[in-house]
Amino acid sequence: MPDEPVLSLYNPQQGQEYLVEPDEPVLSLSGLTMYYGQGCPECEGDPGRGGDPLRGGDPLRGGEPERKGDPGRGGAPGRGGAPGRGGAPERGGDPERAGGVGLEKNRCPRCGAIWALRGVSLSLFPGEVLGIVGESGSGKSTLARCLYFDESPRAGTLRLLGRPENAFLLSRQARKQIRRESMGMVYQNPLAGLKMDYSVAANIAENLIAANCKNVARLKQRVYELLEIVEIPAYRGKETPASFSGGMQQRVQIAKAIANRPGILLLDEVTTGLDLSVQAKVLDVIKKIIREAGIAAILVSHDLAVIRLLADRTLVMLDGEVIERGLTDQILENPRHFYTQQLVYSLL
Amino acid sequence: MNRDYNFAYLDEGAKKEIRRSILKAVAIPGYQVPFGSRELPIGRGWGTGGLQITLSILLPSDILKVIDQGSDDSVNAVSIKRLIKECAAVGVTTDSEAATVIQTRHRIPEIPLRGDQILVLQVPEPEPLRLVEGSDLVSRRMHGEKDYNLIWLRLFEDLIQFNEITAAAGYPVMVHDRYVASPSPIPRYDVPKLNMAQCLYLFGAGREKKIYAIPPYTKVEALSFDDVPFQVESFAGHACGKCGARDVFLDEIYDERTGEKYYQCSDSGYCEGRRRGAG
Ligand SMILES: Nc1ncnc2c1ncn2[C@@H]1O[C@H](COP(=O)(O)OP(=O)(O)OP(=O)(O)O)[C@@H](O)[C@H]1O
Ligand SMILES: [Mg+2]
Ligand SMILES: [Zn+2]
Repeated sequence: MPDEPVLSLYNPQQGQEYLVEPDEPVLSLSGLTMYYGQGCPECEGDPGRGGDPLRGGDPLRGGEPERKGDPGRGGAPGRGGAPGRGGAPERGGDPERAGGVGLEKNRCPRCGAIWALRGVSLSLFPGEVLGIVGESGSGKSTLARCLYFDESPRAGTLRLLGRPENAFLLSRQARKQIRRESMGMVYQNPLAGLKMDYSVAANIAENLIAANCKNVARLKQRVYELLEIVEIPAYRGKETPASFSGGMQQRVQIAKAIANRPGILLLDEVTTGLDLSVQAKVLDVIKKIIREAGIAAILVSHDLAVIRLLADRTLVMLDGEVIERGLTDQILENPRHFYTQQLVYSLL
Repeated sequence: MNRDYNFAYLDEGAKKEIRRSILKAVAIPGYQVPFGSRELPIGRGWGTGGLQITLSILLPSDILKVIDQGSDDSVNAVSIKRLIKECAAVGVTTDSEAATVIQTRHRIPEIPLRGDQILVLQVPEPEPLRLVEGSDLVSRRMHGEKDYNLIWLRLFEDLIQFNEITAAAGYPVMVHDRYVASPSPIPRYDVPKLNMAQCLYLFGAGREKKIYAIPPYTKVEALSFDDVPFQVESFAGHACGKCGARDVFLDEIYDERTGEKYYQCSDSGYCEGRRRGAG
């Protein structure tokens, strides 16, 4: 954690300064609950799991859901046999609870709703990288999407940049503004984060334009600056990202995400599915940005090597719940939860 | 005039309903008002939106001019004019100054229009967001939130790819600092005429069932970046082969016999008037 007495998150577009004490989180989330489907809290008999249900929350992602064409997500079946699932001691001691006859554990047996997140709480402090690990389907991407307001959670409180109000309850306009000015997101699936029929330069400029920069010379200058940061040659700016390799697409997403110099960066599986050498390059770029810009980042990955390399602290998720949290070294060297032990020892 | 039809073809109820939509459109400049588009003895996509507006606002005392791409005697203009004359005993003219209602496709007359004149534009695609957003629902929300970032992004993309903005017709305009509208496929040359005009502009899209308006003295601005000013077509160095006009919108015409190119006023009524005046 930085030593400065205060970290200034100054946003030039907004002309307003947030002073955040180093021991005060830039993002603090509590009781985040999310399920897909109708009417589930009744089946659970426990509607209050994460606090008051949120009404009227309208997700900012209007069009088609991210799942469309997401290769890493399609297969819910076949997940039943994941190792070490049975023995999670802290989960109420009843492995059969969610109807463990080979059905999805997070699917309500009565109404069929899928519980993606159950009362997740976390804090993100200035300048730190918070890792989130967990197997496929544990809710990592849903968490990232909720934090970026792409998805409206069923319950939960999100406080950002030291402001007192629950950001989940703000108007669409206000959420859009916060997201544009203070947050950046790199999606697991580049299709969700990039417009494949626009040039790389336009993709990177999108949030700058949204932040009301209407000067072409300045837009171009910033775009080429960002291309340099993510190590993409300037002349490729005119091409569409569709012609780029996976690693390059992720670097374009990173450039787009940091264009407005956000205080908070969300990275969802940035390196998944990339060759090792390509991974290394993307990770280098991320490391550089985080160290130089002092951004606080949430890094979602199921790759422990990536977490080890970048995360200061780490949360372990299982079936939509945080089951273990602590300093990354501590979690990787001395995992306490049975599931984490399995994860660490089988993957290292 | 054919007595088998109600005055101006449409029944009074239909006209009233369309007028109500027009009033709403005038009250919210640039906002697309849905209306119940009627069947007409002309195929949709052939100016039925403009035609329904014209039929709804015509009075027996009106003098009508109909143009298509500036020309009074193109097939489309002539058949619309004939239909209207058949069912409404209004006067017709090719003189923009004499007309009280002008229905047009793709052009605004050269001479500035007055406060007692209405220009009715036929619009094939009223939605300026169509190019960048396929869903009507999402487009409507974007208008509601005044979120036009995707249009700006499209313009920026043009500048990245071609170093200029390529949209030749239907250039997006900001109306009254609130709604982005498509001025129908008029050339850029005509776009500045929308700003702070004396006349009323009414836009009708029959197939898409939308009416929108630019009332007199409304601020209308072509979207443009600070450092890349909006530019209109230039015909510098050319003049109309018939009347010699220079500062007008010219059509480029290719003479097959001589193999030569020559220029001619796109506004045929204007050209005719100049020649009459000179001769
Ligand atoms: N839009 C949706 N509609 C219905 N169910 C969904 C939706 N998005 C996610 N889910 C479900 O929610 C659960 C959590 O999914 P999520 O994508 O957050 O997991 P993840 O940890 O990111 O997995 P991965 O490592 O595969 O990316 C899964 O059971 C998933 O099938
Ligand atoms: Mg995921
Ligand atoms: Zn002429």
